[in-house]
Amino acid sequence: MRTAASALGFYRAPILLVSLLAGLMLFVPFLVLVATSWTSGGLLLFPPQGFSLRWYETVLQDPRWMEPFALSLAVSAAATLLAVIFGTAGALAVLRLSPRSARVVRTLFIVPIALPPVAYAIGLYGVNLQLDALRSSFVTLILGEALIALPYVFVVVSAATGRLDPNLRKAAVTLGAGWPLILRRVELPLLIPNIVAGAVFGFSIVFDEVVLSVFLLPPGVQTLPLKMLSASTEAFSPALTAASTMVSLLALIVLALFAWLSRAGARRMRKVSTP
Amino acid sequence: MQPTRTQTEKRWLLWPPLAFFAIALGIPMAMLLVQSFDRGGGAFVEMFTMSSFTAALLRTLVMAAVVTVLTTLIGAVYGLAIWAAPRWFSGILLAWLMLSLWTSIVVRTVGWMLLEIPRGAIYWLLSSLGLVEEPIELYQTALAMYPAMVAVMLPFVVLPAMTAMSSIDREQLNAAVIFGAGPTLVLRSVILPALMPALISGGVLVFVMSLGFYVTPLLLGGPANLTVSGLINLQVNTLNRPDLGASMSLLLVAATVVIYLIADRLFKVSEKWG
Amino acid sequence: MTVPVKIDQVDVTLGPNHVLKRVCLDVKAGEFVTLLGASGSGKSTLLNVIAGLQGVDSGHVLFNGENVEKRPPQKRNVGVVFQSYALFPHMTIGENVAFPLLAARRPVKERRAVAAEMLELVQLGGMSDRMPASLSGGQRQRVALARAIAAKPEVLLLDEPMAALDKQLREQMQVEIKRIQRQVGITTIAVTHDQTEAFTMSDRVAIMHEGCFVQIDEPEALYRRPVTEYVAKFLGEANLFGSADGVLLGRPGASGSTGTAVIRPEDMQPLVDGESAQACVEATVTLVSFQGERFRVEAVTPDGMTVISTLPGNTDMGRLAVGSRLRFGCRQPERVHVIRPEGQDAAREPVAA
Repeated sequence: MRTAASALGFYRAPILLVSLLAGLMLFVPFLVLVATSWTSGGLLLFPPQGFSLRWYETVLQDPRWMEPFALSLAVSAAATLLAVIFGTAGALAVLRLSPRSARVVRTLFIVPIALPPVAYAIGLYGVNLQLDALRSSFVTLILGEALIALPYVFVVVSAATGRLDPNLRKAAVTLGAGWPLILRRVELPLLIPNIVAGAVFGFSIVFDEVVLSVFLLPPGVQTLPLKMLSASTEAFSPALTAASTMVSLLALIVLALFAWLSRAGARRMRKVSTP
Repeated sequence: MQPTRTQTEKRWLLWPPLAFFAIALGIPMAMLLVQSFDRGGGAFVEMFTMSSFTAALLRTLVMAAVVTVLTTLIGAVYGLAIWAAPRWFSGILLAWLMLSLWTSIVVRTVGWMLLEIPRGAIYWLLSSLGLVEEPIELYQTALAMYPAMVAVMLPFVVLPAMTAMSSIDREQLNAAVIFGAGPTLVLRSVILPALMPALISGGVLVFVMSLGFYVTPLLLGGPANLTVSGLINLQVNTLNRPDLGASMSLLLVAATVVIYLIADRLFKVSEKWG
Repeated sequence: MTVPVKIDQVDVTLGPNHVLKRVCLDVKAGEFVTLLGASGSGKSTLLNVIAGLQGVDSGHVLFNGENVEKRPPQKRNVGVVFQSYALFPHMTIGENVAFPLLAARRPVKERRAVAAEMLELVQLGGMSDRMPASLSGGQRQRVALARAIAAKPEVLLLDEPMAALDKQLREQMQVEIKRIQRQVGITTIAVTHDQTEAFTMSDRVAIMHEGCFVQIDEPEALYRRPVTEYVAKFLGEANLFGSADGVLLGRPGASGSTGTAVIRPEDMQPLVDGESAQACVEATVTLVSFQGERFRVEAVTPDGMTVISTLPGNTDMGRLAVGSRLRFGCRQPERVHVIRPEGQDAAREPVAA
């Protein structure tokens, strides 16, 4: 650390200052949002008036908030499952391709990151228009969200497939194992930490995604981000910021839990390795 | 010949995801094509005669470029700071970054709304300092969008920048300092070369993602700052011209994907993602 | 009797490199054969060919008379110990050892029993539930060995088995592997670049050089009667002289020489005055090093040829200080081995000074 600091010399102070300002840009809006949610008044105002948790209570008891929350959980879970299956399969397939085709496939799996969500949503909406049966279902929404989450899963899992020891595969093969057994007993178990990380990452992307919901949801239902979006353009009530705070807290708790679990897992491996 | 890898294995692992791509990506794109020819295919020509479209296109390109430049610069500094700051401060910077990464765009945008509305948090701060008396007019202006969009995109530059910085060899840095390299030389000869590839791939990603920006410009920029995405939504949902919306969508998709592929070819962006 | 492993005219090209050039090898049942060669000699490629991890361009690999070169590694019934051991890090020792039986769909009970039996054999009894990361290098190697022989393969292949161990452990494991190999009676082919290792473990050693076998023989025969200068120099140090019709001609390849005489340093001794011996040369001592169980003496003849001699560690070295000039020679005529150029039989022959 000392080298880094001294090597930058007189550049260090301005770098730290700019990063502090940039950091405030990330943090202050969130702080304001949280502060407005504990107002005891009925208006979304900063500074908040008084302190109460009444808006949290309101949100938790209001089906117009809780139903979108449940729907978001369900849709995200389904889409994440698809993204994890196809993203992991893709990451493993890339390992088995010639370098040339691996490059092409890798690019294909990452390209959805660049896909403009509104344009993609219009395309999916067109599918709904063609097939009436789909219009009242969540099929296109889930497929679309899965495609959006897929690159994130792919990237996280690929990071681990690149680190697999190729000798393990050779060993397994000479010991008589066919590829399904190698996949099930050797490769997938070693990839599990990254698959789970990819799933958590993908889930959070899908859970927060709003544009596809705007176009693809059957009439009368909303996902949570869509409910927030409409609440922010229509009724500007502290319920919105209370709900936002709770969702963000939930995400952070899940993240912290996940970080803690994976660290505990790593520690357990270490403990075993030093008798 | 690599006898440990079999064709069946490749088939079983590769074909299901490819089929998924064909269904989830191929069919919607085909639908866009079909829709844009709904009224005989004139939409492709018509959209370029619409001043609202050309204006939105130009606005989107400028916006994406500005956001990319700002995000890349600030992201580079942020990544550098996490690397060079005292432990407690880089911890805070990292925590803020994670907070931003893990809260939804809608939530973050609402936060910015609360700052920027006429009697919002910025007004409160300035007026309690006695600097302004009238409510500020910031909300739903072009100026209002940029900080929020940069904040939204920042993690996409900072994360690769952090990875790049952590790969800098401390020994190399020590050697440079011992041989008397000043801060400018260290920055130019050791740090920038390591950082550059990460900044390029992060910047490319930010640019293509900014081309498709929808939520933040919608809420903070208002109707005067319509992006192509916003205009597409307008065509489909309000003006009832799905053919125009579809052809604009096709153009937007083609533009982003082509730009990404070119950048990928030039800078190997995909390799850097794992 | 059929041959357990027969390599017949195997040819392999990898990219621009002709790695194996029509190599042939027969391995007898229960025999321990080591492929010895410098890196790049093709020895590891040949091992991979036998394991099925590398295909052949032409030629055949036969197990018990059956062609197997088209068979995938899964169907060859070989056990391989890899250089890095390649233990599955997420499985216990027991699960690792039982893996080949899992692959063969044997019932759980049998898997457990065999794993326990194998771990007992490699003296790791009772460690079945440990993880590979918690073992020492030597223990890991034992596990890899147990795993390789758990499914009773026809052939055991060892790829640089000692490379990851430190020197002391290496010697111990060489003897240990030999013991287990004898006990199980399994036909074994190993690959190494270490001569001592090859000699300690093997019944026969095959010297590889640039994709060909140079000589295949028992360790002592290889050492005493190398067929080429390359083999002579590869297997420890050697004093080489040009020779023609039993006469030493100074440096190897000197004009008129028809062969090369090889005298090992331990046979090249300082002579007392008037003593007659084979291959006598006069030389000045330039370097004396004490290596524990022996002294190594380097001397230079007036025409610049280096002579190397080793003496037991308990020798009185008074006469052999650096700078002293004396005669060196070989007291036993049968220890002078003459390499004939290709086409002629290598034979021992008396050489007069």
